[in-house]
Amino acid sequence: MTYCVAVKLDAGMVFASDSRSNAGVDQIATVRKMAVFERAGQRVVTLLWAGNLAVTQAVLDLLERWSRAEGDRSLWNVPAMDEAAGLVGEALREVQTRDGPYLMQSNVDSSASFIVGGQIAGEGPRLFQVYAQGNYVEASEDVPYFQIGEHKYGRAIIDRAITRQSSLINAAKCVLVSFDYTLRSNISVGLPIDLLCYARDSLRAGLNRRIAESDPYFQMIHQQWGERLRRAVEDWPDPDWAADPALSAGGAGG
Amino acid sequence: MASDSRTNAGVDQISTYRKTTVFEKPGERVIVLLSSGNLAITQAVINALMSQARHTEGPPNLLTVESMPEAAGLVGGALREVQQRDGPYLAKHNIDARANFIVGGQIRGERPRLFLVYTEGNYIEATEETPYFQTGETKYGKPIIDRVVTPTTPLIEAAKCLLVSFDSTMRSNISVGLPIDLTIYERDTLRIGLSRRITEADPYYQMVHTQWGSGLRQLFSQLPNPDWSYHQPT
Repeated sequence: MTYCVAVKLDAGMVFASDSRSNAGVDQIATVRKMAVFERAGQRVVTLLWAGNLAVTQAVLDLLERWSRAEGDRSLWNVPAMDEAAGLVGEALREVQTRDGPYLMQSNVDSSASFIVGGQIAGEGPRLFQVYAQGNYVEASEDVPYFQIGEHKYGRAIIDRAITRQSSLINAAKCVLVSFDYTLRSNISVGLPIDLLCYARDSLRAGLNRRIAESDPYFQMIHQQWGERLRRAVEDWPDPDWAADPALSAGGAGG
Repeated sequence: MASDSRTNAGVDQISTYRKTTVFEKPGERVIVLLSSGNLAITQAVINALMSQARHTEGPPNLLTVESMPEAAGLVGGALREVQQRDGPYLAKHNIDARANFIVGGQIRGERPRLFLVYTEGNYIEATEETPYFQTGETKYGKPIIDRVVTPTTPLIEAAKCLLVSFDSTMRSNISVGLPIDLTIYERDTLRIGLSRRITEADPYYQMVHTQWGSGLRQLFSQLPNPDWSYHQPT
């Protein structure tokens, strides 16, 4: 499993991916699931992925090969983000066509999906999700984020706490909490987290950081967020239908 | 203890059913059942348990058993009986006959105890380390409970946290829906403390739904920023 999330804000974008790869409980490895095609001042195209590791690696290899050739199929040359998403979909279809039937013979799941986002000079920041079939959708005003992989545990906090007006840093903090929720509940999602913050119109990757278990900031979040949340619930007004004082007594021993 | 009320057999067959059932003998016992899964199965199980409980004599029922594990065993037994009777017919049509129950409460002479009854009819008890059970669509609403609720949490704080957990779930999955049945039991009282049906019109729930997000945003603003240098040389 995997957890990746990308959020589009008025101020820019936040991307994050986990690093766990597993093919059973005794075949666990650490792999990066984020790639950045950056030409400062000209474009930042960030890719996140989930799914069959061999398939996603083959897609990346193909995209890199196309991009080295500097032709129409190069992520360095496409003039718009939707074409970048189209290229990723095309590469995914090519790999699926080549390898899919062999994987199917062994009942191996060959599905994979990608998040593609960033900015190319001449347009605003844009964010896409590429489905396993190679087609893609763009994030809208109403749903300014995409998640792939094990998305449920970490979803509610993003839904509630991030709006288009959130600052990059507050959104990044919320994304880290969303990862902490997911890591705690599903062992098939694992550290390190790759975190990338992109400030609108900067056309360069702002912060690009690998957050390992020893990262003091992530440790602080892991340890303190629960306490802060507990206090927030405590400070939240009580319902008037629970006026019985006994309900507020803590740890009723007896 | 809390349950939603949505049942659906497809997007155009949605209805509202209560999933909380209380067996109470004030001063003597409170047993609360929460059900999830195939509606015909869970209703048949509840009906069987209620019919047993109408008899004061004969084999033990939920109003006469002496301990909570026996109560969980009765629920499991009733579930097995219904599965045996109806399961093969449902299997012919590939209909999912699974069902789960959460069984909790207190019987005089024991501490309060909480059980999860699996679809196979066996059951486990909650422990100090994991003092809660969820059934159904559990993922969206799990992190807030994990982080906020401990065995020493006051009842009202835990109840508020459950409402946030339900709101998290209902935002993300339309197969979970209001009203919420909320039951609060205070240790050693041996009677139901609060039993409330929270509908869409409930002003407190509306406040949680509309304002908890801004509370969270404030928490994030207060959370210290990392000192990572923002721009990396390229």
